[in-house]
Amino acid sequence: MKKKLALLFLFIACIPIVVAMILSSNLVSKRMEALLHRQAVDGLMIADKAFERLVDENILKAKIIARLEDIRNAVVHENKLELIQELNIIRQDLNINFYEGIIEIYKTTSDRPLAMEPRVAEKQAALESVQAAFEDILHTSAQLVATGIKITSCVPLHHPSVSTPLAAVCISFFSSDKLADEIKKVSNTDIMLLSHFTNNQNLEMIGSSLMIEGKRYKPSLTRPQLENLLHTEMQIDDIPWEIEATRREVEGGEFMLVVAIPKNDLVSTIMSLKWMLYFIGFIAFLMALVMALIFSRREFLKPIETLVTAAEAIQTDRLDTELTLKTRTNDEFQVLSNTLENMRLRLKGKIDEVENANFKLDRQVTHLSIINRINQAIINNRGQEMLLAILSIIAHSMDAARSSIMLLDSRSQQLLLKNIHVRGEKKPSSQQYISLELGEGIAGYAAQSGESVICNAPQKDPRFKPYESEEMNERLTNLLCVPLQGDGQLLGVINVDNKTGGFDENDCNVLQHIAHQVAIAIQNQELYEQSITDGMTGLYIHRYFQAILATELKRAERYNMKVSLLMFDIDHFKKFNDTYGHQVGDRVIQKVAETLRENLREGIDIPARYGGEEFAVIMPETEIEGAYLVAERLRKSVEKSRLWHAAQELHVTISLGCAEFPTQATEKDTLIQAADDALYCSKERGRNCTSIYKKEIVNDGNC
Amino acid sequence: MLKKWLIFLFAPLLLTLLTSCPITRKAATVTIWMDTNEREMEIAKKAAGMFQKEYPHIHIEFKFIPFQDLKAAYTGQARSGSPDLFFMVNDWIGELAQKNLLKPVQIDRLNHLPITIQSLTLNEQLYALPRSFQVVALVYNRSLIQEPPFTVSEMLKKAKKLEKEGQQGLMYDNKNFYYHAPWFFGYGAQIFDPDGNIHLNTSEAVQSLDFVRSLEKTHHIIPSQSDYATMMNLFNAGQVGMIITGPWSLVEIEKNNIPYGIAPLPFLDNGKSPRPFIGVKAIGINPFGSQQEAARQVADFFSSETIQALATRELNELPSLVKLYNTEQTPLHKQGFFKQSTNCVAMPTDPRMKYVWREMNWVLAQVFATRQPIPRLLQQAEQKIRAEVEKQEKL
Repeated sequence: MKKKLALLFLFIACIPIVVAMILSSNLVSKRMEALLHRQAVDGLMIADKAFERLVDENILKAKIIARLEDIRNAVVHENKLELIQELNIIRQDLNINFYEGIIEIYKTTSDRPLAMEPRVAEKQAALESVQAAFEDILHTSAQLVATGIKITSCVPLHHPSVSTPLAAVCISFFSSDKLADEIKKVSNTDIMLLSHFTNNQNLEMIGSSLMIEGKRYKPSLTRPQLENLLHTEMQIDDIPWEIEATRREVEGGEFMLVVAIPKNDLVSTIMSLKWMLYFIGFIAFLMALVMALIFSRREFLKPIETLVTAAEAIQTDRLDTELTLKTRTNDEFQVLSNTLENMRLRLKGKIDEVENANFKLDRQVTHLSIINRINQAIINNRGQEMLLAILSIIAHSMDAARSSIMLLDSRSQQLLLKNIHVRGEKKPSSQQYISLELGEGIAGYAAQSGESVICNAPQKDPRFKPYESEEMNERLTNLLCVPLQGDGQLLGVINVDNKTGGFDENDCNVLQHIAHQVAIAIQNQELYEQSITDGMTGLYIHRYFQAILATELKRAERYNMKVSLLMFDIDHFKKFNDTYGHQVGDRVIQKVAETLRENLREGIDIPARYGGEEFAVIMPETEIEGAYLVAERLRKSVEKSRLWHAAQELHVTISLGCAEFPTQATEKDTLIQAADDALYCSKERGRNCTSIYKKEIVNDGNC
Repeated sequence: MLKKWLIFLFAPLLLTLLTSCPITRKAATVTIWMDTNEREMEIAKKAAGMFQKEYPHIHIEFKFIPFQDLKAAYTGQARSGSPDLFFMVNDWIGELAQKNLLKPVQIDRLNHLPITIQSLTLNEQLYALPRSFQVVALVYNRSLIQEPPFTVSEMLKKAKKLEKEGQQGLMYDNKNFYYHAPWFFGYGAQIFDPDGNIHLNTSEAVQSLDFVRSLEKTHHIIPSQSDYATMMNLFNAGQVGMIITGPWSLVEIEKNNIPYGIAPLPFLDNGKSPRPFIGVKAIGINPFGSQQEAARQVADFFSSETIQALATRELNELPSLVKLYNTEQTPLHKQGFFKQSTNCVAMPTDPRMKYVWREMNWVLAQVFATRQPIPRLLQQAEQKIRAEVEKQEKL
């Protein structure tokens, strides 16, 4: 990027500068040439005018001399010495000496001059000029002579006493280098005066103001050369010139006033200007480059780098870095930066939202999966197993060390610890018997108040009831208690404790949800229990007994096990009913059922109310001998039990019979019949006893 | 990356700078100030061209300064280091040497006419390189006068004869002390007494002035309008027999094709020879010039035999080198000036001379315009000069 941008600026800076340099140098040289030409043309015009003026001045000077009193007197008296002296003075005064001008005074047309200052060998004024003066005419003539052009002005000299001119005053001057110098002063261009005799091709250099290396420069030219010089660029003696010329016809030929501007200086000036331009261009180029680099760095690269970094950060999900780009003007980079920053913020918001939703969803999924697992546990298990399964799920899902459930005993109105799950242990090491009064301890409080309690520092909570063991107290770090309620009725409390990091509202919510399900499950289980149990005795009804027996027999058959069936009825029950009324009869039945429950192997034996005063107990995996022992223990317990009615002690006994599957009966019905037969046998034997089924009994009809 | 670029960018710049530096030899430019006419300048440049062939590293630059400004300009600017050389006349020696504006020079004095060396010497120190001298002599029109007069009496005779024929007998710029000097010194007058004081009112001086007054007033051989320009005009017109002038007039005379001769001024009646001033043209070296060595080389060249011969041939100069008079380099007819040079007075280098010039010219003007007694005029002039000198000394 840096290289590209620098290259770009290099080209941007380079191309216009190079183009500008070439164009301007060409333009400058053309313009200077044009200026030079213009200068030559102007110079020539001025030089021409200056020459005219010098000629005019010559007449003027002659007129002045003609009017001077002293000179007039000297002429009248023909005092040559006086005249020469005066002419010498006036020659200096009028600057005639500067052009080496010669003053002549003629008294007659034919003679030699009366006076001539300075004296030269030949007379200067042409005869017709002098004649013209005597005819009172001002006359100026230009004549080509060997030394150049001679310009002679003749004016008449009058005396007041005479009407005709007394003499002629003539001033002659010559084209010379001084004349050229004088014209140069006015025109500011170098002047060459060239004469051209009619009978000769050559041009005679008769005056030049050109100085080259301190020497007066007088190139020799021919007419064609000059003509050429006027139109094309040509060199004289290796020097290029800008030449302009004007012609004047004079006596004996013509002369040319030439303006010559040497181009040497121009060429070198243009060259130096070009170099200067290139140098300036180069410097400008360097400066532009440096400035472009600085500018691009500050105005482009830095913002771009910032933006790129920001964009990369966004790409790699680093959304927390704030993008700060401050440009002095609110340019496009600023807009881009602001847009990117907004984008970042919105993206961050969206991602936060999604994460939040995800989190919630995750929670819900977890929640649902917990609930689902709880439901599975509820469906697949029953009783203590169900509770244990539920507690295991709770402990695992909440990442707690322990979970337990306490159920309210409806009779004692106490909370009894029903089951406990400790993570890492398949079964609790010791089934402790723990009971709490309502309101006692944190669990008691939760049960009483119906509120869930999160307690992350149980030891400091005043509601906490310490364990008897100090070690247990110390091991408890935190605790969550949620009451179990079904239809507004308190069922118990679920407790979870020792979660790493403590419990929060979410745990509480989850557990409440689970508690709700568990409460329903417990209630449902109670309802089912109610449908299959006899309302008076709490034992299974006949229909359920039949179903259970069939199941158990099938199971025994499959696993090749034995099942014993015990059947018994209350001796002389009819007598109780008849004597003491149905209420006492019911109480007798209830008493027997209670005794039965107390003497059974819990979880193994299945008791049922078979008929009015007839009961049955299914004993899975039990041989007949075992069944007999249970039966005898039951019989004795009943015999010992006391029932009071109207201060009168009632004695209740039962007669029992038992049979074994499949040894004594291979079918359900035959097994029932066999057990019943054995019962009958006990009746026969005098009641309050237990009989084991024997085939003979049936066959013989006696015990 | 950028550094490489910079190298590429600066390389052409450096090359440009290096190649544009010219490799120069130790060149010197010597500036010469001079008052010349065009012809003299032409010859000076020719000489410079010859010099530069020998010494290509020394460049000569001429600057034209009118004679009347030259001394003042040099006095004012010499200390700034320019010019390196200047063409001077010997009577500036006193003033300039006094101001330490002239570098003393050593040359072989025997090669030059003694009078030229003498004119440029002050306190036995030579202050400039002699180039030529100027002296006046009698120039006569050979078509009017066959033999030049040997004595003043002869001169008067010849002049009077010409006057009668309608021509002018003798003409010279008689109101100029320079032209009067031959008579002044010829009669034995002096400007300074033995003590070095200005003493003009002497019988010799009176005699000389009486003599020149008589030429105009008594003998009528000189017109009253006898100044230099008129003299030249008429001599060039072939209307004057004799004039007193120097070599500077010869060019013009030759232009007018006047056949002329040059002779020493005729002996006075007292038997003595008139003694004109001799002016020596010399090359002075600025002691403050920056190119001392080169300047001396140029000065030597411009006063060398080659250049003196050239100047004699082309400019009618009278060379200071004795050698040149023994060869045909100096035309015979010009030997008259050389002869005159043996009888002349070195132009005094005393700074008080400028007052003498002024006052003596005044005296001459009075002599020809009035009938005042000459001693009184000289007395007045002397007093005025003393007053001026005192005034100057006080300053």
